[in-house]
Amino acid sequence: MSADIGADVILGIETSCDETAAAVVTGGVHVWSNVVSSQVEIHAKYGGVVPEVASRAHVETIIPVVDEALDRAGLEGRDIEAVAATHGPGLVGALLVGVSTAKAMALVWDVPFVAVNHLEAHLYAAFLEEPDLEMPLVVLLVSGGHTMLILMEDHLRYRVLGSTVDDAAGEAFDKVARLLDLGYPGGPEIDRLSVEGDPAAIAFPRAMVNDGWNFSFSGVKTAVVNHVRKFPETPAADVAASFQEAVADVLVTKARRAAREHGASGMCLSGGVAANSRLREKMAAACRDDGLRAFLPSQAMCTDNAAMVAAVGWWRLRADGPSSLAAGADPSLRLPGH
Amino acid sequence: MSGPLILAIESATARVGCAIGTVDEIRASTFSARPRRHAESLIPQIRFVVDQAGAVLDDIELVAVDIGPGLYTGLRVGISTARAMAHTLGVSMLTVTSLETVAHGTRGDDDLVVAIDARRGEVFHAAFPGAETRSAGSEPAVSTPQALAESLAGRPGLRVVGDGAVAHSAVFSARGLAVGGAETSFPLPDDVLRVAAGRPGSAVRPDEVKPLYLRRPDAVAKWEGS
Ligand SMILES: [Zn+2]
Repeated sequence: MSADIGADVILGIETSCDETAAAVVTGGVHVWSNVVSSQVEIHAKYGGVVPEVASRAHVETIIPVVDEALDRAGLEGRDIEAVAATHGPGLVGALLVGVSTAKAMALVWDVPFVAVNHLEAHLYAAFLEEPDLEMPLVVLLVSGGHTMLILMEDHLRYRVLGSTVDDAAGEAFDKVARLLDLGYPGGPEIDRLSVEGDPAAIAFPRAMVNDGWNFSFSGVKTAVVNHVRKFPETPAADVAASFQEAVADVLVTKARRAAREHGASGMCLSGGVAANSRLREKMAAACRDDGLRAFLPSQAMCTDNAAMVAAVGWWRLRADGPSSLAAGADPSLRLPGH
Repeated sequence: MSGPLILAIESATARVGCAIGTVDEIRASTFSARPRRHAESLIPQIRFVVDQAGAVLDDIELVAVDIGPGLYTGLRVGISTARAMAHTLGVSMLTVTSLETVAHGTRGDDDLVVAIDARRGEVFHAAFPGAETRSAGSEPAVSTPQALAESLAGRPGLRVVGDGAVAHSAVFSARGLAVGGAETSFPLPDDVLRVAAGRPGSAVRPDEVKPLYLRRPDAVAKWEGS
């Protein structure tokens, strides 16, 4: 098969962490269905994602989720022209369920299989809601597992400018939420509580804010621990709001500087933490001030989903052709060129 | 009378393989000679055996799979693949356990205990008395090889087989138990097919097929114990 392969109706499958997801996307942008079965409630009592529990749940859920995605798209399996699945990065046992399922389906339907990089999929989430996004574009990819600042120069062509040297932004949210007894997942809880707090109450550190492109969030997390120990009477809402402000501040300041330095036409958020309301506000305000376009994806496109996997599948199929049916999972896969 | 064409998938140990055939005849099969990365090799193996059998995928009428007990990562690859294939082909499935598969593949008519390596110093096991009744083993269980050997001690003529028996042979020998030869170590895809073909009436829908884990995830055990 050549690179000008004409497959347009793509089934995407995503099982890299704690969401079992399937979607049908045509032409790389038209979402016909986008089904996500979340395991958040299953993992909540353990205070985080338990890999073995996640893998077991994926095995149980994957076929019904794929069926529902086909159903909602009004399609039969034989209408699918290519199957794309996340093969990394992520939890190896979880990834293998999606990859094995996708390859078996591609084999039976006799259509191409495309192994998709989960991080690249997050970059394409924005294009599903805004197909005409202009590049170069600065993308801030923030989730429980990743914090990356990426310059997207063109389709499938990008540079990772920086990433976290310790905790991911989402991880810091989870840890601070646990400290404040707010439950799991921590991001939405901190966001909710922060509304009642004063973001300027405590000046938490903004590590490396004016220094390079990398991030560090272990310092602010430790500062929160120390503050709560020293001043236990501080209202939790003030702690949450001040912590959130510090994290959003660092993220937006760096993204903004990157956009300026690289002549980007806009800035885009992606990943689970992109749902954070303060981060969105600050990103929108920064773009307004700097005359840039801001793209803030909907909640459904922030969190892990298979529509973004199918979208990348479409682009990759055109650029590189099908992946091998001997492809496996790569839990520590990186973005190309990083 | 040759019966339905069955694709059988085996992935419960560090090795992986598949077979295609009927109750009368294995038409083609492969089994990795060394530990293999299951996800990488299984689909190419399936393509190979279907080809070797001179068949096409649409000829497959049943998909049989070993549901364990065994190593979780391999099992998940085998079961996810088998379920997705059966589901997309629109055919039913047959399930077998790794333990009965090894029992079936063991020559002789003596009393067997099959032990499959469960890692972390444990084995999955079940007892299969006498030749005619080898299809009906005891309930699969998990324990240390020491505890298993202890419970079997003083029963001459009993043979312990499977990769768990080989891995812990000293423990079993010390209790006066015979340990099976290398040819009986692993559940083989051909035996998955034969055991499954022997019970065509027990076919189930793909979504009814679940791995036989026998152990809860550590985090769950810890949480429920606290
Ligand atoms: Zn993600």
